[in-house]
Amino acid sequence: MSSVTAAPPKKVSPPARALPARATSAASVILPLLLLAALFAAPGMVGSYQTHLFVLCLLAVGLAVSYRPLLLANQVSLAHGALYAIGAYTFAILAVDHGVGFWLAVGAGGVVALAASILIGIPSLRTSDAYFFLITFAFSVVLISIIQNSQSLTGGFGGISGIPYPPGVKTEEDFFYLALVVVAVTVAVFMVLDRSRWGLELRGVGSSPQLAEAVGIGRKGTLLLAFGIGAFFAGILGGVYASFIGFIAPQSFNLWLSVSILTSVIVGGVRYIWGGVIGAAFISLVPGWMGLGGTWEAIFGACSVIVVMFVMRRGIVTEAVAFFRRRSAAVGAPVAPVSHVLEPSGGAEEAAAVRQPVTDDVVLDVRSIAKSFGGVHAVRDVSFQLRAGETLGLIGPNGSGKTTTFDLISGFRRPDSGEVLVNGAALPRSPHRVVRSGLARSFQATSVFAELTVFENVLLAVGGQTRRNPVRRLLMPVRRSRRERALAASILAELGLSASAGVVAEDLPYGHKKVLGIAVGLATEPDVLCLDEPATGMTEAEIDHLIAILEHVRAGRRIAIIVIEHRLAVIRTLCDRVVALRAGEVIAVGEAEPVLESKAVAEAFLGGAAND
Amino acid sequence: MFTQVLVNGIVLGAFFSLMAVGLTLIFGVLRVVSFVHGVLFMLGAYTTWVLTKHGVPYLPAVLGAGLAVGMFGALLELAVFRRFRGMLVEGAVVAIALAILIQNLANQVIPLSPQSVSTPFEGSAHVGGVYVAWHRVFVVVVAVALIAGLALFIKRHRFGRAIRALQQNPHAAELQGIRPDLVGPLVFGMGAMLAGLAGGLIVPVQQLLPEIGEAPLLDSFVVVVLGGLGSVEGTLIAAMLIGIAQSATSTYWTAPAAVTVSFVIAIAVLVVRPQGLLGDE
Repeated sequence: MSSVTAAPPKKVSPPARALPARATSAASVILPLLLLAALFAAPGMVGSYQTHLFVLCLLAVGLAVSYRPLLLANQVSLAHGALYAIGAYTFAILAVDHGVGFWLAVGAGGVVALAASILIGIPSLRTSDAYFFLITFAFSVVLISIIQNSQSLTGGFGGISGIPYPPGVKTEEDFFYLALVVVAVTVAVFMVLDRSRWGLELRGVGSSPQLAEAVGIGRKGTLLLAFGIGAFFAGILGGVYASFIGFIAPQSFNLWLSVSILTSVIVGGVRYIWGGVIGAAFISLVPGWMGLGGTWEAIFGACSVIVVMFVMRRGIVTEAVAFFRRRSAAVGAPVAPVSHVLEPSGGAEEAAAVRQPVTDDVVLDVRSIAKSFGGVHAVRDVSFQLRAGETLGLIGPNGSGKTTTFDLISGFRRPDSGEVLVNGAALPRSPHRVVRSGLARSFQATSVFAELTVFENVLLAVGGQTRRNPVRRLLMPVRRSRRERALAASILAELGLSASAGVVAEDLPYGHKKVLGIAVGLATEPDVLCLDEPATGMTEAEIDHLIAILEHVRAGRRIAIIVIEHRLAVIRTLCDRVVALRAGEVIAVGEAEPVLESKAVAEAFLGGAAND
Repeated sequence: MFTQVLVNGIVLGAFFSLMAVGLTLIFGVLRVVSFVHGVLFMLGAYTTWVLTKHGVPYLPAVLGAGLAVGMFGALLELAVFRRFRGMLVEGAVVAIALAILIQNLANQVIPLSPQSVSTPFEGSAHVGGVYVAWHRVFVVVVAVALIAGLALFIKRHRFGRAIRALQQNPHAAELQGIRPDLVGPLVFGMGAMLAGLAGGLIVPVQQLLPEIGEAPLLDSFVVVVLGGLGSVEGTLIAAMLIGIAQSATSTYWTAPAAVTVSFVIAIAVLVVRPQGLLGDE
């Protein structure tokens, strides 16, 4: 099963995997082909009842695989069964009432389901994830009620019967091959999507929606794409189902259907596409073999989910892969150890000497911005400018508005008044567009994608500035984009993280995680980099490294940096100028040393103690 | 006619608010989307039925059902939802699986044919051409009293204040000595109790069938989406609006379309206000 992992970095670092990448990719083609061949031989070997079950199982696999991308991005939809129903009804109405040909009617089912998903997705994907559960659930129930009550179109409770097989298909065995082709194509399409840049983006959104926005990935657009593509395939599979069964009625598509699709992916595990395949086969075949039907089938599914959630939360396939990885790692090549020392390539010591000069080009212009929350002025009349190559410190006691200022200049919040110009242009409305105008930011707490590897973290952020051709974004494997991989690798090398490239970010030591956060910001190739407390929680030695790294970073490029920091050593060493905030207002601006020594700043930090 | 529609809508809204306030409270404090609310409602209805069948008068039977379902909810939190704190998706998935499990297990023991329960409040009140069954008046009174009592509890009582603190800032609340391990079962138990009471209150005016919890679950979801998840005030306003919308749809158009119309209203509001009427961002 290790055949389907996201590609480990090849040239950049020794892959921390047991299998070499080339064997992995060969196996990932051969294994599915073997499975396909075995399935082609299947109908001859089993009875017609089993063939019937196998067709239903194939459709379940298609549904699970097309549903999985949403779950990969940590979104639960309960509408997949409803979208399947839309495909089935569209097909049945066109084929029975209007005599439309098989493939055209099936395609129409996909398109109508896609349209419905967009209609539902746009309002429900806008805010909290919880709304998406509630609305997709409500949509499923309401849709069934609409079908039941639209007698003239859908036949109401009686349903539609006499739905034809496609021309040339005579027996259930013939249909098995048709379904096999449709589902194999579906799985193949989703395998391609899974390896694409968009596949990586989905994982990023699932891991940290906020950070994804900060590196140029629009949460809503990425999710809407997952909902829409999934809906299209669900609609197509619905048409195939209607044709196979010959009779559809509202009760064929009750809520249990959507839940069983969710169940399949949860039980199999969402991380690998084969999790969906195996989960669906398990949930659709095992109850039948055990002689369970109706109520007991539902109980079986529910218990499977509960057991999986309690015992192996990541699902059967994911846990199995992790188990065999650990075993083969123990036996075979050792996993690259996590280095505890950061080693920036190139002499960090000389870096300060060859630093790029500060120029007169204003890259960030903050003009008297203000923001209040329910009557509390978090930020009031804050103005400052940042020039290319300059490093600015933002200091102030807790609650003085530093992070709010970052939120305002990076587009995560809109100012009540005032404006922010990046490279002379007004700030775009959504954060992921701000990155494209050349401003990147990190976050205080989580500035890495915890579930992704170090290399994937940086790769995801690379080129946050560029708009991508949607076809390339969806279809080209991430591993093929040489320029982006090379850039990611060079940033990791520059920050001394190359040795950990294959390590999952949450397994990194704390100091490395903070540095990775900076790498992620740098990977978007920003003109302005905003760092929110990069040194917090670091040891003295780690702080020295951090300072060396930042000096090295700005020596190599014409970048302006704003840093929020409580450790004044960082501010003293790095910053050309300092802006001091207190209660949302600027109390001092100027060169670092005079500001830090000023009475106003001392009072702000010590709460008036300086008067004594 | 119009007054009658309005009154029916308010009665319906009061009924919705019992379920929806529990949902919104549980979500607001514990970040769990309680898909089990429908089966809790069903359990409340059947417990009431079983108790009255064994000679318990209706009012104590409803009260007993509410308490029993409330304790069951607290138990669910302790045994299951506690493990998934802070995990929105996992919590929701487990809640869905639990709802299916409980419903299907219940189907093994409860009669699948329709049952009924009688109420001490028979007949109907009529004032100025508007008719309301006395039992529905009773439901409104109980709903208002319960929600007012809950509001008072949350505002005044030590535990209530702990709940609000936890909702606003879990970390700071814990530092103040508030124990989330006590607040969890308390909040889930209160939400479950409201659902159980709602189930017990509905049985005299509706046929008792195993799937009796499905419609109220859907209605309360729509209400919560419209009102803004986590906002009790928003939920109450939305419950009234949805109640009136459904009553108007049933009267002027057709009853089966009522849920669809209220769903479309909620979606339309979301397009304009993504966080619902009074939800936080």
